Amino acid sequence: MLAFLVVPVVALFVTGNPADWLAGLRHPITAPALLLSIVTTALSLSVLVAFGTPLAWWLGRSEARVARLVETVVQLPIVVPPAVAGLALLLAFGRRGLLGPLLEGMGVDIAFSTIAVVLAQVFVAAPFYIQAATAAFAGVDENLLVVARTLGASPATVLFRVALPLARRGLIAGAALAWARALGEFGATLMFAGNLSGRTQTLPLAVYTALESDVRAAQALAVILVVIAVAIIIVLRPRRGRHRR
Amino acid sequence: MTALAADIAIRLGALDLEIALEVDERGLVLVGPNGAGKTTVLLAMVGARRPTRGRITIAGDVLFDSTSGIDRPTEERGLAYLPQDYALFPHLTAAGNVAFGLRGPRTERIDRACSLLERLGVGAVADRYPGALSGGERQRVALARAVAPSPRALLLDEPLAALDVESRDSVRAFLVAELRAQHRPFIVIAHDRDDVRAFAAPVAVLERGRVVQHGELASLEASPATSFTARLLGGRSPAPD
Repeated sequence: MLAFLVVPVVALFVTGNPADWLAGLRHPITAPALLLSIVTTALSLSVLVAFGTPLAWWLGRSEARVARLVETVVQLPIVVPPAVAGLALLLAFGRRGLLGPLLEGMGVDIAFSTIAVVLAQVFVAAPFYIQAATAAFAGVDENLLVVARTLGASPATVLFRVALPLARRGLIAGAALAWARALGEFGATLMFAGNLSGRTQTLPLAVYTALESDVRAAQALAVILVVIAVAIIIVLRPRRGRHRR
Repeated sequence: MTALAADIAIRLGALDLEIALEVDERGLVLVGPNGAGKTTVLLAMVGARRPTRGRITIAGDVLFDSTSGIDRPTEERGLAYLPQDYALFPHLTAAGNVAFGLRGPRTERIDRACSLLERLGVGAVADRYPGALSGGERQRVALARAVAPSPRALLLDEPLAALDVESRDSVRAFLVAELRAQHRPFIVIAHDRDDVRAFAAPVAVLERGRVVQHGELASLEASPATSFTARLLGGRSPAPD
């Protein structure tokens, strides 16, 4: 099994040479796609952390039945095929979609724009962050939260000064997974945002496009994707905290 | 009038709790078998469990009143709570834990926390994290943290349960002396005959969500109302209950 997982990644590196990769890096498709991927994944991760953290806090602490229902809903994007997710986003936010007329009235056109790329990434990556953050918050001892309140801390202070520091390893791990998922997002982006160079063509879409004309460029882009993903996962890997429980 | 008074009912899963207690500076020792609802009483007082009906007051100030819809948030109740495992914040040093409930500039808060730790005999551990403290040190740090913001009453859930036999006696003596020195109402949950005697306070026996006996220790020892009380306090057993 391990060999099956490793061999394709190894093949990416051993079937090319650095000269080919450098040539691929200089391919006109590469720089805009790399920049767009960095910008859109940074945005989607920011949106996810800003809105997903409060939701995970509630899910992790609430014992209400509705919370368990919401937890199930949040997991949906994992089981929905990315292409279906893209179609669903298009039918929701596209010009002729559910919210199309409303958005048009506000002068906003989302489909086939960079915003659509970000939305597609948020949609597919959200479960990875929210699930990890929910588990991390649920693991915080309730007594710590009660005691913090008795010491005069408001619920927001308890969240920032007690829960977040204690849950940070789970939050960082979830953010790293979500970021990796957003970086690799392909199907939903293609359906909802298209494949427009400099606007919606992220690295995975550039790999797909380059494959039709220049395999070396596709391979170089793929190598970049793998190297960035591995580097970020290593950097964000949860470390042992300085405190001991 | 500094008394802490609670007349509340709580239904929580299988627990059907209905109690009326009044505590002054003499304190109250709450005893009872596991599952009787002792911890729930303390949690309801601090506002972490909502009673289905009733009223909680301290010094005449209403903290909860189901009739008038008053339910003051925990942080406004001014009641210190010390759970069984002390619940020290593992990511903060001992001084950081004590400073948590203080207000003002950080350096000032840390200074005040350090002097409080010093007074309680654990000044040397101010920079240590809870994981590096002994049971007795943890308890003193937790007590320092609880009294730091000058609470109106102290609620302690089995404060001696987590200690080994060797440190238990000295920590018990220290705790009793500190509680007396605080001159505030306190409720302490105890499970051990020596602990109950050491606090020298009125005792309430909670069984299956009801206070089955309440009074001075001597009178409970002389005539325990239930076999649990008799076993705990070592008096003669009542008729089978």
